[in-house]
Amino acid sequence: MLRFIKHHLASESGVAFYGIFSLMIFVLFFLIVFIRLWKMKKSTIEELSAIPLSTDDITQNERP
Amino acid sequence: MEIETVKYDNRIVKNFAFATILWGVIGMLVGLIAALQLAFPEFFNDYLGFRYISFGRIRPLHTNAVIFAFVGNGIFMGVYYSLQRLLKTRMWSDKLSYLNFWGWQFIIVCAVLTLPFGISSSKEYAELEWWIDILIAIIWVLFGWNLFATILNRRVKHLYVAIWFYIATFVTVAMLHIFNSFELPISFLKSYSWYAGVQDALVQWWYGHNAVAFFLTTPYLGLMYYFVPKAANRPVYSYRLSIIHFWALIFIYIWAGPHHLLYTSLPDWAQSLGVVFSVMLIAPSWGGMLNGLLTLRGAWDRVRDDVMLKFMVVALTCYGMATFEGPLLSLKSVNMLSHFTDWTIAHVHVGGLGWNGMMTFGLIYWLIPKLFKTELYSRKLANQHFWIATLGIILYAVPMYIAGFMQGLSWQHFNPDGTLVHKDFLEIVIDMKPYYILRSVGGFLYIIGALMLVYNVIKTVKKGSFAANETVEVAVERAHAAKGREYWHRRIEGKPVRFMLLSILVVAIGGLAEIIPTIAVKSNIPTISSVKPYSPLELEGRDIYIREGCNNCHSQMIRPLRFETARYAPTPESGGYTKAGEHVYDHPFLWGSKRTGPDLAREGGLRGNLWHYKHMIDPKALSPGSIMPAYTWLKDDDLNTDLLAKKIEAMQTLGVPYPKGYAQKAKADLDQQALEIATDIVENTPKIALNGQDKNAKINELKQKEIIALIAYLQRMGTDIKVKQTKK
Repeated sequence: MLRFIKHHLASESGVAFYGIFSLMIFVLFFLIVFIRLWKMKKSTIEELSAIPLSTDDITQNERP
Repeated sequence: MEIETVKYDNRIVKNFAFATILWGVIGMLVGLIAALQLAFPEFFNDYLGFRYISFGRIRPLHTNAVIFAFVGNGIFMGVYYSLQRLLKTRMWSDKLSYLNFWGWQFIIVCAVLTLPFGISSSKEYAELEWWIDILIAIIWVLFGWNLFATILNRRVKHLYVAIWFYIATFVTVAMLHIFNSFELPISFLKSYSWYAGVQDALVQWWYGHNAVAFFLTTPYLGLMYYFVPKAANRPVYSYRLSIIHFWALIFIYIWAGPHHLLYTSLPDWAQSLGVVFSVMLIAPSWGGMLNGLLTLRGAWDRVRDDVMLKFMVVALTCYGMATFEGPLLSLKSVNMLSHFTDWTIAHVHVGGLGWNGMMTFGLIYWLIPKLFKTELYSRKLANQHFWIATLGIILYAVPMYIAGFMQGLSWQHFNPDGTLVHKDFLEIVIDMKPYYILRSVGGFLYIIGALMLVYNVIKTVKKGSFAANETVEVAVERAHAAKGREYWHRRIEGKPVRFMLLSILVVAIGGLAEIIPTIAVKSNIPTISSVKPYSPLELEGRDIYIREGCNNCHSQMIRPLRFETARYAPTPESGGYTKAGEHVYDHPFLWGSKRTGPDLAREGGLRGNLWHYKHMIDPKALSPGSIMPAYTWLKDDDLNTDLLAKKIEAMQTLGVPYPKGYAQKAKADLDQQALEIATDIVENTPKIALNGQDKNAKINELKQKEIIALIAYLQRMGTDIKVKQTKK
């Protein structure tokens, strides 16, 4: 399986490409996350953050 | 909105809560014994001399018990409680829930029954042998299956942020555990790591650091996002921040492993990558901590009254300290000082005692009254527990920091003439005694606190009444197909499977980018032609080294730093700092991560066989003040060579170039080398020490013993690249 990769990674210069590629993925990923967050609606956020506090459930305790 | 009746399973939560408490106390007690061994070695090593609790065997037992038994059960306790309520759904399968519970306890018992007997693979936090590794994988996957089936069956539309953390925990731990546990079994109780040397080290620390990340951190952050808002009765400070927190944390954490291998023979580019990502980690970590603490904005008056919140605040503060320190320690200049010292021990205990411990205690104080429908038996006692535990953490950490600085600075202290001030490693060890005693006191206080919790819980349970099922009527909102311009992130959330795949992708990127080049690029590990495979006797000796856990106190890694080479490889002939190529046949690698005793990478040939023989049996006789245990049983027990042929064959399978058919000849070579070493020892022993025994009889008796194999291994270390081949 590794022979497919070995071919492209014959030397350290192949590794340098890894670093640059990693950085690109990294920056892109976070840009997308930030842009999406920026566009989020306040009402949605409030709805989501209230999930653990939802008090509309009626608990009845029963014996096993 | 339709209304449905749900029965939450509280029994599983109760089971895990009790298991958490039980194993917590046991794991901490084992830790206290280990701490006392370093503080009072005379009592433990000379007076007791009990092989099953010698430090090298008990230290892995402590780490495994605390990580997997205490925190592991704590994770399941919190997840099983919060998941059902966040999804308004009972766990999908009770069978799976209880399989998870009993399977996990069985694994813990297996650990207790193997580690003290020296059955260990030597890889830190992954010491358990191959079949236990398989069991862990199976039980973990069953847990994940139940988790996912419950998510898919949910009665709510959205997945709350806590559940993302649970999902990421599940997928990443599965990935780490499976990849790091590739090992070749040669018998029921013995296996060899699939990887060797540098690659083994990289995979191990990719796993080791991410065990901290995805077993001790992400699940507990998930619990924090559920229980802190719940206890404070207000929503999390910023949901936006929690989204950034999640993605940033899982994306960045996975890369940071190489910071455990700075200045070692790991390729430079991989080390730098680890540093950069470790420094970046401070952002999501502190973001998460602040998000937790700021949730209490305007609710600080509740912190005064609610003991659970007190524990949570200290837990989050310790989390903040530990995650500030992590990036700091990953800077090469700081790591030069801290690596191999007790500073690391202080760091992990701020995390373990502070973050995981205090969070777990807080959860238990909050959950037990809820499960037993009563008030906590004594709030006063819980408050006292809080203060005594906090004091215990301080008393543990501060002496360890001082000890760590002292070790780091003393090791690199030079005289004006360029010689080492503390030529003898032992001087520094002896200076540590007061700090080791204080640390034990800190740990002792912490355990006293835990016992107060045990008492409080028993009393609460006695006065409460437990219902195995909690019946609730809930308003159902089914997850529906996205219509129109539904918000993007909810689309991911609304599709748990897609969400899981995305989180796998995010954590896989870091792993692949680091590990593939290291395994695939030949030039990463320059070959050294003089490095040869171990002789059969050395191989057996190495397995004894692993069995006794020598690597818990002795490193085999001389960093390319002047103060290290001056101490461990002072002459031009002695081979200098450790090279990557020296370890190509090391399955598993044994670089170690802590120097309680000196480094052994260049030990071969420095001293005679007789010295080693005496030293193993009574370290203090040759090194007054040594805290090393006496390994008297090595001179009494015969070496078992039943597996020798299998071991050689296994090594051949893993690519170690023994000649064809060598497995059958190995025993003869082993006997020959054992005879040479035994003869050398007896020849050099003064007549008086032989007690009138005939020399030949003594040699024949001695050559069978385990200690001879261990000496063969010790005498081999580092000799391959020493210029003057020493006499074997």
